[in-house]
Amino acid sequence: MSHWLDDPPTVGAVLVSHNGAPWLPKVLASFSRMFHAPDAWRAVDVASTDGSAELVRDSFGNERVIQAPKGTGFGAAVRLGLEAMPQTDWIWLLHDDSSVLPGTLSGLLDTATSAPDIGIVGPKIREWPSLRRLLEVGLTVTGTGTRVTGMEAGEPDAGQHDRPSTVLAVNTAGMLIRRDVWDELDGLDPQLPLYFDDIDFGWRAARAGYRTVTAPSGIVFHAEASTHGIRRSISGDRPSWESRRAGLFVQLANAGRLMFWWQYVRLLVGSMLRVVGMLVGKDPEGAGDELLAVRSVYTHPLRLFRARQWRARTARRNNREIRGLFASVWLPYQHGFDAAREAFAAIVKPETIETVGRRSTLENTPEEVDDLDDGPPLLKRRPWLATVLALSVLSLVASRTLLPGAFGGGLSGGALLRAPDTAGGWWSLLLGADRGIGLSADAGAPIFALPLAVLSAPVWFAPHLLIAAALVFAVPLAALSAHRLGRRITAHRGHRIIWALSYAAAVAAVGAVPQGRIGTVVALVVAPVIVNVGWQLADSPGWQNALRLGVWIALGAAFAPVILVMSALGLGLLWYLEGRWVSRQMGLVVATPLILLGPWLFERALVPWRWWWEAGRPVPGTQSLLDIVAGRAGGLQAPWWLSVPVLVLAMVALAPRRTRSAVAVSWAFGLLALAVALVGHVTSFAATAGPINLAPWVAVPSVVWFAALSTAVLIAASNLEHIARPFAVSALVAALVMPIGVGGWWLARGVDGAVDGSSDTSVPTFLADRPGLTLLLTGSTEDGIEYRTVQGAGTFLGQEALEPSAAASTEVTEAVQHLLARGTESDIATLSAAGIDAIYVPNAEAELARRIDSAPLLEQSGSDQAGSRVWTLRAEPSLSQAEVPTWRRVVSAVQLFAWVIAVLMTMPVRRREDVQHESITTDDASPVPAHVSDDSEVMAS
Amino acid sequence: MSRIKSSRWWAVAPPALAVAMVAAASVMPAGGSVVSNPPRPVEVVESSYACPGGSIITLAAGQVRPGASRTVHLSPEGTPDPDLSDAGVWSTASVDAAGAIITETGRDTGASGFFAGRAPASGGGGLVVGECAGVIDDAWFLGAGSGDRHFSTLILTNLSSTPAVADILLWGPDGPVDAVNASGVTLAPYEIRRTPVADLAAGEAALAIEVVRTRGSMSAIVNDSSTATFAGTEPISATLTPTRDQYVGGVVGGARGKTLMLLNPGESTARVDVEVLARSGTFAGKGLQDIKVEPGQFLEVEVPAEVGKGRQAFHVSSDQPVAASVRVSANAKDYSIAEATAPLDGAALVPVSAGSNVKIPELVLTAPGKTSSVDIEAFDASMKSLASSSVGVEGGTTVHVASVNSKDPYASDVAYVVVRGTGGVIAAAQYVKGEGVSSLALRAAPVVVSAPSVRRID
Repeated sequence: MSHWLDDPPTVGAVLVSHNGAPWLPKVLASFSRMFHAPDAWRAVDVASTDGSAELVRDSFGNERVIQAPKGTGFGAAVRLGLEAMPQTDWIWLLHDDSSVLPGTLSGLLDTATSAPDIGIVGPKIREWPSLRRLLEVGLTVTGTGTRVTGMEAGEPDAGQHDRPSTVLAVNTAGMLIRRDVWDELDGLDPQLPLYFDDIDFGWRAARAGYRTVTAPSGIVFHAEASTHGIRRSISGDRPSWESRRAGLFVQLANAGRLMFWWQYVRLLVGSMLRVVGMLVGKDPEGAGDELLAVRSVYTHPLRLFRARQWRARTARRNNREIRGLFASVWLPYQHGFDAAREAFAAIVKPETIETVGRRSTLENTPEEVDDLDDGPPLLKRRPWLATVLALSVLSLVASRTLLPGAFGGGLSGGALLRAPDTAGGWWSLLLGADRGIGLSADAGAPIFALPLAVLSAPVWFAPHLLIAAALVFAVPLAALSAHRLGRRITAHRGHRIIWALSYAAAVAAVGAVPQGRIGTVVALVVAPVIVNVGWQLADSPGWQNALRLGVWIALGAAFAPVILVMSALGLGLLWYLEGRWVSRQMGLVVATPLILLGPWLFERALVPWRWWWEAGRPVPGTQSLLDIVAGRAGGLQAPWWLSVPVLVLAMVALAPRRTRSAVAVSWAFGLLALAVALVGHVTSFAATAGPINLAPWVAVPSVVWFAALSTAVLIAASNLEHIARPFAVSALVAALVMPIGVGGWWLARGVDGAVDGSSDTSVPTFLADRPGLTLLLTGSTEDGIEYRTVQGAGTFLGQEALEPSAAASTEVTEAVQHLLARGTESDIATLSAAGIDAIYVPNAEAELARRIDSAPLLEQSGSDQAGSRVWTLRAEPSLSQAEVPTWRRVVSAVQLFAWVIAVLMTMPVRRREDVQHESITTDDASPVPAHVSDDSEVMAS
Repeated sequence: MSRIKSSRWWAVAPPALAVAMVAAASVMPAGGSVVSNPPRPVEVVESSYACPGGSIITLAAGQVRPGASRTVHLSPEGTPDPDLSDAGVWSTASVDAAGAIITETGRDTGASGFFAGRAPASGGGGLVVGECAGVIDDAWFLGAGSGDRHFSTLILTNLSSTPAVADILLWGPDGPVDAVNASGVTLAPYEIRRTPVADLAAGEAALAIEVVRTRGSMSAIVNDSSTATFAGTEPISATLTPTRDQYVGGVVGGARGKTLMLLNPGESTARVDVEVLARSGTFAGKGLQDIKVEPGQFLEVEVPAEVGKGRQAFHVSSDQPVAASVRVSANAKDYSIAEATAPLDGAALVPVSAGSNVKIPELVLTAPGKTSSVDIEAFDASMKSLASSSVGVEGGTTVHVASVNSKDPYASDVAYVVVRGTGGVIAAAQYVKGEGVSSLALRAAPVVVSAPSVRRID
């Protein structure tokens, strides 16, 4: 087989320009350096107003330039060019924002002449101007009408796509088409003037029996000016929704006869879902475009019918025969998941959203190719990322005893109750008619069930994984949130990392994880975020920051209500310090948690001292004053003396006059937290559940106190360069005692404690399987008996907070009281009416058992362990007692709605970048807008 | 953040403030002290008790306050007895049945039942007056027998609709007695079972019985009859659970002697001293000092004649927990048994009309500590108050008074009296009919009962 150069095919090139002046000089220059040039040239300028016409006229001569009226689409422009150009074997389409390399056309022809069934050849397209980032090597489309390149965002060209391959379509920028194929297919569809014309053309070619092949040896650099809206627009240009309209149109016009109706409905429904998603994601312009696109397509059925007829004319194969050219059916859903993930990231870490962006400048030429450098190792390049990864691994090591339970049946113990069997348990707790606690309850569902329900939805059938992840990765999560706050405090990376590690060490040292204090863990992860957002509010007062602060306070308070108290004190101090705040913002900050926490606020968080009751069982604290001063809270905690260096450094930090003011502010916040912790130390509270007169667990204010002192040290660390080196080194070593010492203690001891993976069923299995409730009695006759009603296997996290209704509680309490005094048949009848059908005493003292034994209508049953006793009631239990009042469910639904609205309103709004419009700007010097590339841009939006 | 300056004051103030706060907290008591919930009284809303029946037995059912309802099930058929079913009156009826189970509902009614009669001569003869028994936990009966012309019958009653189970233990002069079929004795719902003690352990002239309820709702009482050195018939009610300090009141005058009965169920020898509280005061009982009771021994000690024959109470103190009762052989035809009881703290019912020819009972009152008093109020059968009085008892003495002055015009209308004490008086009633005599220890009617504090925790 002879090479094409032996008898070179003729090639006619058509360049279409439209306000492409910023790129044309380099584009036109690249044409002059080709090894093998086209035989004929035509340039079509579509009503350019930026001098593009003059540029092409200077380059090609007036006789080879055709002027097209404004509004002419790309396909129509090509037709004009072809009509004025002699017949050639191949047609080469070029854009005014795509430059070529000397060997581009040769490379295309190499592939084009390699097989007779090749009708279309496309180049490898890289990002303008010269980086090795790939844009396209062939195209395809999803069933939802989304253009797919198959490239990762910012994927570098390392030769991974350098084998010619058959694809559905290629970009019109650099597209080489056999003239007979073009003529047979009647060129690009005039219904697709700007977008999807390439995909449609390739699709039609494939159905006509021609192959579209990529030619990676032919390289084109493309600025994608229209796609990115960086081309000056004029009246008559295509609207922003044209891209989506074209996508829908191409899908419906090319769908097979059987698939058409399915696609017709599917795309309509899918578009409506996209509209909702965009509205939720605060992209109203995108939602509007989607609606306009749908309207344009679905209100012109005749146009669609004709388009399908026009395609049927040349189709020789059905879509099933070319199905290998289309994207996976799962790809749209993957895109949806990615979008949701990005939206979530935008909420949680708005300033850290990074975009690969475009690094285009017009200064570089295609020849100045920069090879991407792998750079230094990760630890040096991204030390914080490496630290977090290391912390995560160390967390797994430290949590070695929890892992079997974490991945097994779930963790429980200490203050932690088991997770529900499915995430539906938490949803039911919030909105269901039966909360699964047996007796009816007056109190609302705990508000922390809401984030648990939402976050556990992806692991619906294993919600315990969410709890396990929070406990196992509590330390790295705390480090992450602290480090983000640290960015605001200091620019010194090393100091910041040590400070964040100290905070994480404080969370580990307080022993919340081994004690199952899930509320403390969440609150301490959220606390730096609250401070961070509060700081943002102080820096740039505005309703969105105020709302965001309120949402975060509400989230923290949901798990640890004391956060509300501390936040109120902190806001008061901030107000005093700032002195310039307007009450409107403060009001919004205060009002937001009040609304979001709802009635639960008044049942828990604002009940004096009950705000110490965090999520989970109200297990009392055992802290001493020394523990509090050292940032501990008693129990399974790290040695207190590991905190001493930080305490000393915090006092020393007050010495430098240069930073004293800021250090004192940090001290002031710390003193507030210390005051809260000390008040907790000398008070008691009575939870709805659990023993009365509980000593509060003061871990949250204790750790915040310690963190404030650490912050004071961090602020003063900027003075290190001004003091003698030995002192600086000594201070650094002292600051490392806490993270290193606690880290060693943490790894050596692990998080072994009250939490484990053992079954948390409150009652024997055979009782859990009974239809009625089990009356669970604990305590002694001398010191008092405590009882609770257990449905099924027992209470899960969140149910412990439900306060039984006064009526149900009083009746059952009286019946139990009489049962233990001198039980009668009416007492048993009361229990049965409450749905109880068994009595279980895990540790039955003889006197207690004797008292129950004397009651009528009870039968002794076997028990599961020595010392326990079980009685079953002879009466049938009533199983319709646990109805949640309707108004409670309505309130929960309203609260849920309020959370959704509040979260959505705190999300950054997506605004389409302003397209340079002739009527707006005349600045030609900077056609490429700056793209978001650092932290602050998105937040500012 | 301009309000905090970089003055020197701010260099020392924060740590100083922190120290001050911690110092202030250190002088305050830490929170979270343990609060115990001791048992508390609970109103009784339903009372069930069992009374032995028979052709010669008259039952009386009453209450301190009118109840809501009263149901009577006669054993073994379970038929109701309309004569006793009005919870608003004091009811009496002859019951020709094995027994009766009476259940009364109502708050604080203090329902109580009594039985009275004269035993046939073939069974020993003598006057029988006793209180119907409610649910027992661990009941101790002293003075039973299964031989040597002294025979007792243990009467167990299941008061509820579910099976009841009890263990029976016996002690004799030589220690614990192996009883036959005494473990896991199961009674069907509402069953009344009369078990001759001889069936449990034959040939024992002196026995103490312990009944331990292990399941269900059960009452127990012992009917004791003898034709031996002491003759007659007497119901034995449960005495106090073994303790180191107790009073046996209502020891009636006995011409033929008194017997102190002691049981040491423990594993160490008990040394017992007895003080006698008589009309003249308290004195150490001669021959009743340093009585040794071996572990597991049921010991009967003849009370020396020097102690006296009048109405008395015995103060029994021991270095080990013991149970105590006193048998008084009043004459050749009958005897009575006085059980240890707690001081009367509440209202106790005393049936006045206990059958034909039975004299109006006397109240035997002992004030073991300081001088105390009891209030006595007489009622007719319709629960109408007829008269009331108060009786003072000098500390350390025992007195006896007529429950009703027979010369009072309303005396014939009195059906029962209510004796109210406030924890300072040991009280008993003595019934006499001819040579028949019987002693009834007075216990507060069950208005409230101690129960553990209960708290819901979910």
